[in-house]
Amino acid sequence: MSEVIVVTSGKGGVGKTTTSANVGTALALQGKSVVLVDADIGLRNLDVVMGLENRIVYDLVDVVEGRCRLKQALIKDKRFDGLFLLPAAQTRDKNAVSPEQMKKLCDTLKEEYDYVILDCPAGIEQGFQNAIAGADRALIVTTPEVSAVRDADRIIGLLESHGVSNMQLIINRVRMHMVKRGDMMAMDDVVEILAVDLIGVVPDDELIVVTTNKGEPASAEGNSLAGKAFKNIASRVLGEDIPFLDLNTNNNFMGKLKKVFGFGS
Amino acid sequence: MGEGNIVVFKGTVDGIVVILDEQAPFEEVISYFKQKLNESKAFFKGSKVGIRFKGRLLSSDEQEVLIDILRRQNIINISFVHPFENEPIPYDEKMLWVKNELDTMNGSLTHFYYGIIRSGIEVEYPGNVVVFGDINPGGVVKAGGNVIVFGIVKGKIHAGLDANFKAPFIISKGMTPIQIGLKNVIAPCSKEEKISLEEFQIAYLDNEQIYIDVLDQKSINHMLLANENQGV
Repeated sequence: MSEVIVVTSGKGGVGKTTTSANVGTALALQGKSVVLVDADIGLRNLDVVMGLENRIVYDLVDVVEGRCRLKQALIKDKRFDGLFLLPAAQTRDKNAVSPEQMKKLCDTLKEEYDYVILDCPAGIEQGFQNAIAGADRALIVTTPEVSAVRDADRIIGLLESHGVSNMQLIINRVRMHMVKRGDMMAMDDVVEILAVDLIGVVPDDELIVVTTNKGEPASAEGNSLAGKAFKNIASRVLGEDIPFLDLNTNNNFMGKLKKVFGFGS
Repeated sequence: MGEGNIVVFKGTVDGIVVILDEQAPFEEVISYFKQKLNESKAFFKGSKVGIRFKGRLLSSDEQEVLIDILRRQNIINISFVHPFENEPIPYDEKMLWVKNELDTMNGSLTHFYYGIIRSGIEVEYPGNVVVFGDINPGGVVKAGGNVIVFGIVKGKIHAGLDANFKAPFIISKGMTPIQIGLKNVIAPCSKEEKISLEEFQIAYLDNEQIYIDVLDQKSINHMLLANENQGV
């Protein structure tokens, strides 16, 4: 059964594109066929994060306006079997596509692939309306900050009013040491406000910056805690029941040293 | 009523309220009153306060006895003795209007909202509003009449925008709004005010000031009791 999943947040910079890239990759690694669709027309960067920028010939607007066939615009990721990218146009804006056209596109993609993952632009305007038009499920990304949670709350309300009721929450960029000190919102507080099921908690991880800049999704490598968290999210998307990661492990050098000498957490 | 409750001292804004048991024999009340007075010696030490007796119908002789005790003691420095009540009034008489107000709701227009009022959602209704869910930060409820929330208020809430509602109120499980309004009085709520989320609370207007009180079983009982006394 195929599914169209929109990754959205309202607020910008909370990690929608990173989440789309990593969850998509992790799903492909589990043997599913996946299309990543960049719905952020005019400000595309999913292709950059995936390291596929240099292979773009046609884009989403070309497909919608009939300048090319869908197959021509899809870029196959050679590193992962079954992973494809439909890039956004950079020279146009969000109004180049209508929600009806997006819905048609999603329905077409759904026939051939197991998962269609839409990277939604920030904001609640046309781009957001386009991205959610064909969605069966929404993954809402937020960080434990008041402003991001407020926007996520707004987005949830809008999704509900558009009839998207299957949604789960991803709390991104959690810093456990700050939560412990009481300087950052705890997961429970966020879930209590938003009242949406939690599907994953992703720790703040420097490795994400590194892998993003290199164009290699972190979930393809084994040694990053955030990558592991994204892999677990993918498994939960597939319906598996996986326990949440223990984010309290001290992974820095001092932490490891302390562990060796028997101090530490 | 337990022995400890025959005489109850209660501190209020305008002094001390002494609640006397209605049923116990007067002699017993007097002895408890003296006892309580002595017990609170350290507490009252030298302060100048007004005093009000409540909860019991007192004959003029009995009133004399009480005044006499106050005159002879040197524990509380009484500045003023409020006039005695003519009839026994349960001390939470302010709950009465809540019941009356609820009765006016019964029959007037009421809008029921099911779900969480999330950021960006504004519910506006000329009558009363009942919300089954939280009001999240960024969410707004504006009602001509009263508002009852089966959830936590974390957003903006304003009741009594219609002047026909004389004494509007807001009842909710947890009262931590960003801003609260009743009639033309608007108040921001500070984050420091930690209010229990376990009990229902009521916000009401008294003398152009917004007050928030706990609405527990006890005060509800008083509300119903006050109602019975009125013969409604």
